[in-house]
Amino acid sequence: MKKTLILLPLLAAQVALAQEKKTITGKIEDGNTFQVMAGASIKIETQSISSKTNQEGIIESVSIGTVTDKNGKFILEIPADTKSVMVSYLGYESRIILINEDQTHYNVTLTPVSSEVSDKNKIQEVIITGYQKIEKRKQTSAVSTVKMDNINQAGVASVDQMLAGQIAGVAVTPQTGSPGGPAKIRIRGTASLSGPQDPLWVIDGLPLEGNDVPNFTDKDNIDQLQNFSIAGLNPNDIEDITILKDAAATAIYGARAANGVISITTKKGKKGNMRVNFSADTFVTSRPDFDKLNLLNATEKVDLELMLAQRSDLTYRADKGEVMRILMKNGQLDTFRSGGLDGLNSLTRQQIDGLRNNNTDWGKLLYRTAINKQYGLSLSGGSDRSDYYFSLGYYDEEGTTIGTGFKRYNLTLKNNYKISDKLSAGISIFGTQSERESFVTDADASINPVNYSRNANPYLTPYNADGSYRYDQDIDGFENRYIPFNFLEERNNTSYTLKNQSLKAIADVEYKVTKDLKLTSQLGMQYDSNKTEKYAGQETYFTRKMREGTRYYKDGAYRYFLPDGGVKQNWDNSFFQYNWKLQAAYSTKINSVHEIDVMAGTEIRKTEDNTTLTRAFGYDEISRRSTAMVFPSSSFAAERKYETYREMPPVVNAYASMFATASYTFAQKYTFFGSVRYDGTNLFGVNKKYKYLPIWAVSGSWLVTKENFMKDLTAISNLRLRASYGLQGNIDRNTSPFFIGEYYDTTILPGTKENIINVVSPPNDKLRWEKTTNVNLGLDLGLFQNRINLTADVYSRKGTDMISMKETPLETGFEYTMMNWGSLTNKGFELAVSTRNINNDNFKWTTTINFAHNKSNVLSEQPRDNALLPSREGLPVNAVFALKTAGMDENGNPMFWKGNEKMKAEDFFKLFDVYADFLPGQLVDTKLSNAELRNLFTYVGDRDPKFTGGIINTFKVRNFDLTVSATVNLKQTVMRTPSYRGMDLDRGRNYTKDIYEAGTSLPGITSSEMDSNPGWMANKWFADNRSNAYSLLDVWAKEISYVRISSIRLGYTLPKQFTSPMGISSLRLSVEGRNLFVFSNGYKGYFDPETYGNMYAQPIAKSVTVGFNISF
Amino acid sequence: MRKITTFIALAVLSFSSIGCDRFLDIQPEGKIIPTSVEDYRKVLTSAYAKYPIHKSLTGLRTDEVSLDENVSDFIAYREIAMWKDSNTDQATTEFPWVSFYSVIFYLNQIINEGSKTMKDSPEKQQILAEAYALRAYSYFDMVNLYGKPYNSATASTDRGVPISLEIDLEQVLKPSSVQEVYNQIHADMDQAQELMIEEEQPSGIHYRFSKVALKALQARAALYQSDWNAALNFSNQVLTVKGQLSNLNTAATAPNHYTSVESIMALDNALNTNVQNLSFATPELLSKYNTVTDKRFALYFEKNGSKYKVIKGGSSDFKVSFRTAEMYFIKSEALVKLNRLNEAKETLLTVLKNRYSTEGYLAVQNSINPMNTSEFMNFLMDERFREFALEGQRWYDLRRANQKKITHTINGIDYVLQQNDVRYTIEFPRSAKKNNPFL
Repeated sequence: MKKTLILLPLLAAQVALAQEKKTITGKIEDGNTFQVMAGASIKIETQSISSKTNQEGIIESVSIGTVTDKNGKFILEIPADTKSVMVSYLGYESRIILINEDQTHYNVTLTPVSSEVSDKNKIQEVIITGYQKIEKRKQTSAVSTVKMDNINQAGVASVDQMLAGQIAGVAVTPQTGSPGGPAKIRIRGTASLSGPQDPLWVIDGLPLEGNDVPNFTDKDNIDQLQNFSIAGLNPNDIEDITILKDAAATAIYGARAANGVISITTKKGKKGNMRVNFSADTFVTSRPDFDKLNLLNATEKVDLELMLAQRSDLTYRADKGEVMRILMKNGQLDTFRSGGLDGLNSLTRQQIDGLRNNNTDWGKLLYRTAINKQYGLSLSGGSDRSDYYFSLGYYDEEGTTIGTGFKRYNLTLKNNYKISDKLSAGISIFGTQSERESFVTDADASINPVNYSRNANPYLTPYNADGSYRYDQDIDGFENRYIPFNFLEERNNTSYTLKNQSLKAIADVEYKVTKDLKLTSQLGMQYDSNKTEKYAGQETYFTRKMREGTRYYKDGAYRYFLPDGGVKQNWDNSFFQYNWKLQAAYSTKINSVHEIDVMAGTEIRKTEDNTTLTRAFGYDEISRRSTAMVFPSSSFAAERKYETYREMPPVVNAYASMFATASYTFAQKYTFFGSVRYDGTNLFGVNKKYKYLPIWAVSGSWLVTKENFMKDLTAISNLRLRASYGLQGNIDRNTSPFFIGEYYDTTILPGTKENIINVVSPPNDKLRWEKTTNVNLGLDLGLFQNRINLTADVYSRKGTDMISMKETPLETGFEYTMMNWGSLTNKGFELAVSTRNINNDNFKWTTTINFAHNKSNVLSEQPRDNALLPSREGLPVNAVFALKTAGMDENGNPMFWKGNEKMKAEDFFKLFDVYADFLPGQLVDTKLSNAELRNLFTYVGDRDPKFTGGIINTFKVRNFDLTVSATVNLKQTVMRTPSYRGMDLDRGRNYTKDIYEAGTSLPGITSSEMDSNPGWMANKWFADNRSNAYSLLDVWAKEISYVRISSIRLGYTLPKQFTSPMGISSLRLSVEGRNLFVFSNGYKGYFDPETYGNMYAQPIAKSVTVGFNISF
Repeated sequence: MRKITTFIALAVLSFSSIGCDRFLDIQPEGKIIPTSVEDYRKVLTSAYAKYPIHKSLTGLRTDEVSLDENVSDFIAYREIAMWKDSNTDQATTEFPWVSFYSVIFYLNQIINEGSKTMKDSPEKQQILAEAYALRAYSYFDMVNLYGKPYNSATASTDRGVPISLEIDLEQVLKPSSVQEVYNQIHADMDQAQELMIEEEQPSGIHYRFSKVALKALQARAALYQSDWNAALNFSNQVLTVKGQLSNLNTAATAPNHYTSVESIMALDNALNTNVQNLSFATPELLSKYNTVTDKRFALYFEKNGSKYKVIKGGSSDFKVSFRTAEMYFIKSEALVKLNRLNEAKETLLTVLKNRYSTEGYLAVQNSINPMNTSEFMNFLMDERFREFALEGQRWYDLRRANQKKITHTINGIDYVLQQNDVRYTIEFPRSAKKNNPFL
């Protein structure tokens, strides 16, 4: 028996009131070991017995109870009408034992709290939807739950990344390896095209705001620091995660749940003594393998430039690149063109050869191996009346990209009280402070670190001989007036930070009106303060470029009005929301056959977002003061970019909703479930009929194993069939049939400032509701005492009148608007199998496999005259179209397939010289109509993966445990950014070794000048980006499949006999390798298969973690 | 117990049915659906504020400026000076298209919707009048950028620009003919004339149309359409109200300054900061002036190294759309075409008296007197070149006059715009073509 046992005080068993009594006896045993338990307590739980005291008017309240003796036995005298007693023991689940009139002896077994839930109890498991707890046996919808213990990984900032490969139908794709960066999550494909496509995150019933992941192929987004509220949560505080997938499960959340719901339940204190848990992990993140980018080295680049310099027909940015600069400076270009290398004078040769020796390792200058740490401490415990959980967390990650990092501090406090038998309340507080760190990169696309490391010439050295910064002569965008740029200088002299302080508080009250009727209310609040600061010192490209913009001409000279010093910009954003729910739930059981559960409630929510921007010019870091700008003219003064203070109008939204669910179960076999919700919002300027939108779902399940005919089939321990149907709707909140204006001010003529009204979005009275119907069929199967568990779901979602952003003819005055463009379906299946392959005391092996397939299909699409690509009807919504090439011709220009005919680009696009008569070689156009141009494209694949999934194997051998998790992503077609543009090859930047295939398997290096170039028309066509033709050549498409071993974790738990004497209940040491291996069909030229084709994404970190976890 | 239940049921009921609408009825801060006269004035001011700065760009296509290749913005503008309208570099600035139609969208909103909700008042009338006038002005500028110069013989078949008069996001418009666009311009000008109340706008807000500004537009439209009687008529009407000229022998700023007595309407930023920074006056332009007696020279140009910078622009102080001098020029040209040469000379000399020093004026007068019609016409066009240098007039003058050959040297290479080159009509911008297959 446990030595840490604490004897409960002997409770007074005297009963003063004269009433009928009886005596019960019994024995308490451990449910696993069947050892008797001494010191377990037995008491009457639900009521206190009041006893009159000697003093009049004072009633003493005493509980009736006792504890077991050393043989685990007890004797207790109780009032004869007692219905039940409670048996409890520290560290074990308490049980309530019903007292039968004619039974006086009770044998009770208790199971330890920490032990895994046995199969017998599984039937009582509940699904926490955030609104209600549904017993798993009454489950009718598609829902998955994962325990945090099974998916927790050290060295991962946020829980979203840990979901990768864990749940069937949940595709998690890391978008960038930047610290604290989010992962893109898609549950069952893409449902809505206009609004956010991200699932709704809910924490203990409070829906979180601020988790929409922007498009990360856009470099402005990828360089932007952004706070995601889910990244503020300490993964150690999470107990389990429930994912609601089909309409029956999500309908209760209304329109926001169109993309599925991820509901997080956090840990709470368990009854018993205080448990202390401390964990510490150190993780080493290795420098990314720069060789993956497959770039040219210095010698190869010099040779390439020499080759380009030979050719006089290549005029695009012809003066770029060090070789050309040397040749021109020394006046040797013509000599070189006529006589080659041998003709050059020795100085030129020496200078050119000198370049070959400067092999700058940009990988080392930009990336590093980082050592990071993570600590967690939690205290928890509880009594019969209350429980508590308190935790502290610290997470510190330095990015492998030098200069980036993420730090987080967490404080969590949870308390639950049972105020009376009817009333209970709980309060939770989650406090977070996080800090993201980077450097300023937004002055130009070319200075995103990943992109720059691709573009920077390998012979370019970052420092001059005297140690000063050497500036890149080839930086984009400044043909002749050049602004000095050095990556290291930029990184050292700029800073970019985002500090988030977040507080989430949730208060719950539950009141049992009667045995069957329960009222609950929850008030949740979220407050986020985001402070972003961008600072660029005076000696930076950023500030220099800004200074250039302030140049003006006066009194015979150019002057600049940007004061000397740095530029500092601060965005101060605060977000607040509250969410108040009031619910009544009624459940009853009639004759043990009919079970009825009804719930109805209302919810109101209000959000407010405020942002102010301040700018300081001429900022001095030491004095912390800025200098006022003196504008030379009123038009400069009116430019918004020089504004020093700006307050965005607050964004306030309110929502009011009503919802109800009803469930009926017959004979514990058949369950019917219905759910409905009305959402109302403050749609300003929107038609009244769109103010409330109904969302509903119906579903049912059949527990086949309860049928008599299944009794003899012992192999099947559990079989349930499920079906659901639901309808969801959505309307674009930002589109109104009216002209909605926003106030601004302007100065048209000097000295007169006037208020103006600008239109917010194009008024459109033709926009209709977007509706999605959702059908789900599911099967839960347990075989051989649930040693094999299988869950399978098939679903079909059909969206009609889908809303999407579309380009409009510019004659409308707008470039884009929201439109109903068509209908589409998403069909797929999900399969999750978990097996306990070996289940001995000393060796356990379990395997979980999940696998999902989703295919979208566009049923109809409103044809657009200005569309560039063919209709997607009959194709996936993310269809990839390309131009089928048929190799390259003798000049290196791509040939095309039109049907079975191989043709040159000029013929394929039917190109002609528009001004052939009087200005030949100037303008190329096509004779094809838009529709004919569209038809040149061929469907080459789906940008969404065909299959996603994960495989998790867990082994337990004595005190060792090993978990290997892998994520699988199969058959995803990606169009990469062309590795080079052959018709306007920029010799000022570096390229991948793809360039060696120019003219053979990839387009050649050609010119769009008419002279000496038979393919000039095609090149002009490509160079002008017409039809986006060059980027959409099929040579850039690739079908990617990969398996990533996301985590290998080995743990060793010290045997109890060593740790117990030290008062330690558990001590575990662990080693974990993350992202160590990835198997794929090739991702040459990019860091990871996940970010294939993205020129800007930071590499996904590979790390090794060493840590321990200790509990008292 | 029942009490509590009833109470809660009532609370829920009242909260959901009565409270909801009020709870949801949030008037967003800073947002508005315009209805009143005050609102629509702000909408109209927004339209004025968004008026495109295309005149600065047209300057780059003329013989007025040469580019400074050392300016950072050079890359954004060099292809305009190369008359390269297609296959342009990514960095090249496009001629405005969507910004014109954005202005037109605001005006359509005022004309179609605002007219219904604004209460009848003189202010309403004035707002509508200005909206019509500005719409006419927008289409006038567009058809002269993207359409062939007006020629009554071919105007009904020459391609103009699409005319958008309704707010419909799903419409895909075909270009109308030059004639159709001019018809629309006249229809709008007529509407404006009927409604307009303000004779002149006060200084500081005279970016707005007024009766006199509208007449100036009508005069210019007549000039471009070679409708000489109308040109004479409208320019005369303007000059009776606003005929004062700035005497440059005493004035401290160029006559296109918005505070100048000549300023009729000051909306267009004809030489914006970027282009001013980027350009030098061409030797050809400079050689047209008598640097001593012509008082414009010192007010317009400033020596910078071996070259001259243009100083009559570069800030909103020099916004100009119409000014008095132009009316004299239109009147003079109309008189020439109507074979009233002496009156024409007299009209022009009224301006020149305020432009040259006394002795310079006498010299000019002496040289004009013996001129025949064609000689005087040439002189008039040269004088326009001098007077309106970098005020956004030159490109249009070149188009409607002789469409002469121009050579620009960029990065050491000569680029030539041939006489009567098709590129005297600017191609529809790439962004416009991309979204509308009919362009």
